[in-house]
Amino acid sequence: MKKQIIYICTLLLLFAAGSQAQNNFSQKLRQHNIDFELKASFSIGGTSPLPLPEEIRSIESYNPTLSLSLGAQVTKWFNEKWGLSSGISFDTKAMKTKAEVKNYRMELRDGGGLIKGNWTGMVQTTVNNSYFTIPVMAAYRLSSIWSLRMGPYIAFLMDENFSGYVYDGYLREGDPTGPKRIFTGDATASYDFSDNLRNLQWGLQFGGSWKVNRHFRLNGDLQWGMNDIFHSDFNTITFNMYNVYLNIGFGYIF
Amino acid sequence: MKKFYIILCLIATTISSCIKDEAPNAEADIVSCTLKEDVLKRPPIIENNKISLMVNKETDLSSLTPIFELTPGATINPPSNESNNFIIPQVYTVTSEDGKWKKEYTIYVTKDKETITHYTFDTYTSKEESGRHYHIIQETDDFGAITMEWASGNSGFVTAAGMDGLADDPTLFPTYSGEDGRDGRCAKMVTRKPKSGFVSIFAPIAAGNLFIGTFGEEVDITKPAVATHFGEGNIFPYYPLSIEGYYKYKAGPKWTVKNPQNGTDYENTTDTWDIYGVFYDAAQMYIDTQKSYLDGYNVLTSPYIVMIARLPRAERKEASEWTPFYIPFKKFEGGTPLDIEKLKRGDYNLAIVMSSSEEGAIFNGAENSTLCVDDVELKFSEDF
Repeated sequence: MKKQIIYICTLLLLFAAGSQAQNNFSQKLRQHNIDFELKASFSIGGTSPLPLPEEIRSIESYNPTLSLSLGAQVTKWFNEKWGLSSGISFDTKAMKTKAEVKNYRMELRDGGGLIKGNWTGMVQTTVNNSYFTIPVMAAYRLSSIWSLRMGPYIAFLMDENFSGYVYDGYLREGDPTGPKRIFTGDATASYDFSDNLRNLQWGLQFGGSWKVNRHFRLNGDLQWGMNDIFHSDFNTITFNMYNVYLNIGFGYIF
Repeated sequence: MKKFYIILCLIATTISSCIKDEAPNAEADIVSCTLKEDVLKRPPIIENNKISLMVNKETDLSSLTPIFELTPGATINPPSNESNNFIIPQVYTVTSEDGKWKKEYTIYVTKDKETITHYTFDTYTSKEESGRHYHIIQETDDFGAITMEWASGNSGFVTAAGMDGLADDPTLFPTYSGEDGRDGRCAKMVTRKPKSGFVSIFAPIAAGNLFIGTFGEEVDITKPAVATHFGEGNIFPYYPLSIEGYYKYKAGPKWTVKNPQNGTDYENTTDTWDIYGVFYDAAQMYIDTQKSYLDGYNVLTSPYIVMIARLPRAERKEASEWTPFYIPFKKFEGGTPLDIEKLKRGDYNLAIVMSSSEEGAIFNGAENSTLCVDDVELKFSEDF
């Protein structure tokens, strides 16, 4: 969390410095048909296998948690309709889930070592990853109020957490024919796959904006991750997982 | 904004509505096993790769018909409800419903009155679980055939060894076969201290133990002492007199207790060894409780105990050289009175239990307490 605050402060400082001579700045931007926007939004979504694999039997709870995204977006308009959008944002992709699984590959650790096996029962997962995201998108004006944008993005992992615990179930150590370890009541064991997360993500971003007035816009941007969030040599989770998050918030246009 | 809701709903539906059909089961367990001939003397003992059946002494072992219950969808070969020759142990293979996993079970059928009473601890076999090997100490006859296997909590320690990242070395387990016996090899028990959080909450120490009985393969990690099934399967139709043998012992330096805040959970502040014998009414216990074994919680207190052999604490001293011990069986006050007819009929089981930490069953003890045992004899009388 500390790291995240530092990133956000850095971004804010940069913007504050950049907007010193704001009036002048706005005029110049307008002359060149450029929109410069500072964006802040809430992020809701999931880090999830798509579609859900057969190991997952039910989702018992889902909490998007309070995660924020802050960024700057620049759009150069080539004509009345078309333009090119890019920028940088600091996104937090977070969620908490509880799911019931059957025969789910697991690596439990909390001492110096780990045990592997197949887990049947409940799994709690906490995801809290922060990325610097750089999209490059085509922008299209539907009207003077509505605009759309779409294109690829790359994201760099800055701060990672993919962890959780298992409870209320049993582990077959090694494989499904191994000894059975039953967890009842308060018994839990933790897992942490944070170190197995891939540093570079890419995906597609789809966005739309609704202009409230000259300076304020409401924004919605869906970021759909196209590569597995884990390193390819990480085999414990037998299926790919993707970041799919929607940022909803507002922007200030200079 | 409407559009965003539509997109949001789309995501929500994509993620929640596509729970796939349940996959076929991957497990391949024998859940229960009975004999069609109705000759079982005790409930079957089912372990992860082994089933032990104790039958009446008149039984013809050459043709018995086991009936199995398996993990739903699994299949077994040779099939259930088909007779087989159990003069020698037979191997059965269970295949999981999804066809990807196979597990072999060896089924041993023994008659009562085949009790072993002289223990040399001279042989062992290594068993691998989750990439780590541990010893199973065995007794053999003059021809080298295995006559019994000692049970221990080693299988339960595999989880702790994995979590703590221990090397693959059987001598890092709580119980192993030592080279430096009084005569040949000996049984070595060392109290270990798992470091991993979730293991140590429920089992902060793992005392070395060796006992007659079985170790439950299905371990509820919140109640680990339930897994030691003392006396299970060991019918003893004689009058036990004493347990005699040789030991060496060194207590570990630092005594720890599981619940230090709970003063009633421990009595002592130093560690010592324990060897005891328990003779109990397994048949009556089975009728009343559907269990025919004692566990870590009731092995010294169960009302089904008929006789007990245990030394007072003051007599269980440290010893750096092989030292003889003599532990006589005595009537258990508050237990079941001796009934000679029941004894002759084979209603009673006998357990011998050894531990490197006296309070190991309630997870109090000192790390590195080490007990070595060799050349043990269970003395008994046949004329009563």
